[in-house]
Amino acid sequence: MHRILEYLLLFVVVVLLQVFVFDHLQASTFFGAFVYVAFLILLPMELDRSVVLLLAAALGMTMDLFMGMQGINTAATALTAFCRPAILGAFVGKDEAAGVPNIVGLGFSKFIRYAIVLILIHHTAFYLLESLYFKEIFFTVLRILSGTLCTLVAIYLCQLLFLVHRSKI
Amino acid sequence: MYKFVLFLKKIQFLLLFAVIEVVALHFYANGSSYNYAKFINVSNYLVGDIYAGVSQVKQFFTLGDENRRLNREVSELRSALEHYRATMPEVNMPDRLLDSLHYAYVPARVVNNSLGRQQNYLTLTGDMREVTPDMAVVAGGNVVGYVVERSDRFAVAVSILNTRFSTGGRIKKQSNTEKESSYFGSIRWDGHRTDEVTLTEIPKYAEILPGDTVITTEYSSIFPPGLNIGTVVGSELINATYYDVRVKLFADMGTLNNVVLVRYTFNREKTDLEERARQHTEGGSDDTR
Repeated sequence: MHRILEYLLLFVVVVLLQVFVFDHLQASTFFGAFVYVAFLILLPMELDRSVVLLLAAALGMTMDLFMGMQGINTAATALTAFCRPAILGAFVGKDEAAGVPNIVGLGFSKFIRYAIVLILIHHTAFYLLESLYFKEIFFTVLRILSGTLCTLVAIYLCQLLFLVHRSKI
Repeated sequence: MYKFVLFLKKIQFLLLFAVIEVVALHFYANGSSYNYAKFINVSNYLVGDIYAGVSQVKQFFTLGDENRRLNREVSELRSALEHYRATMPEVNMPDRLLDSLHYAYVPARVVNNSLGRQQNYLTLTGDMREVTPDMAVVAGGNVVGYVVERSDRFAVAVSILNTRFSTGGRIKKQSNTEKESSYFGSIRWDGHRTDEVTLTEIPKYAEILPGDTVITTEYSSIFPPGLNIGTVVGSELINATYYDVRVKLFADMGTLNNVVLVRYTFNREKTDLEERARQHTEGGSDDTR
């Protein structure tokens, strides 16, 4: 129960951060940070994968509504949630998969690699759907890579904030 | 039957994924520019007021600049008015003349504006009673976009930084010749830089110099002719047949604040007439008279 409340709070926080902070920091077509992916990254490892998928769809639809985009966010988050069990399995191993996959739970380098793969999947789906213009594939790939970097830094910084908060309590 | 249920349970994850993706992609595939704006309008019912509040706070910090800009515009308009007064004294504007005014102006405020996407939109607020779709959005005399959808309190406009945006552009000579160039093409955004658009299909015998001004043409039923768009920064010959000209926008799209919406009052009459003429020729094509 305690955990459900915590994740509900995380959901609200990432959506608000995305809509009111990170969407307005985008000064160019590169450097788009999608901090809301943090919610998908940080869901508990033992959570049923179908539940993760439904939560991802809810998150995507919320973002679509706020950003005024039709389905792009939902398609990207659902794909990310679909790939998540396989990626978790590859990085963590099935038997030790429990707890929250954050810096503390996974360790720094493991977490960064796990997060990069998830963010990359999300951004690839998002930017490909957004441009759908294969003539400009080089430009889109550049956007995917720069966006992934920005999101990773943003998520890392946000997590530091949460960890500081935790250690005080 | 029991086996079937077991089977469904086994592939439940895959099935769920497929359903979600199909629904999302269905919405995505049916998204025209028009639908898009409609969708944003719906989301404005939910979050438009929050955006308006946030933008009001942001606006507070640019009040000084905004005031100076408005002051400059007022003095320019005043001197233009004086000029008219001096050249034609004692003009009483008859009502009949008012009827023939070509453009109607409505002030509005930008509450939400994106730059990082391929399809960028502006959300506007203000007195929306006079606002209709197809009104031009102008900031400080520069083209910024056009209105596509409106609700009671908000309007959504396609930004010039939208890959679906398109209008005519003409090159105005900067040099002493004073003669307006008759070369025109269409203005498009390629989705790359947020301060540049492309003026495409300029004939290859046109003389294009960096620094030339690009303005709107007389052929648009949305934008009044002669509005500033940007300055030429470079050009590229495509297939040895026409130029693609890179145009640096006059408007700073990142700091849009107060804008003016312009309606061409004869738009309806013009498009209706054009439509009738088209029907006429199409109907007459199989008529051998």
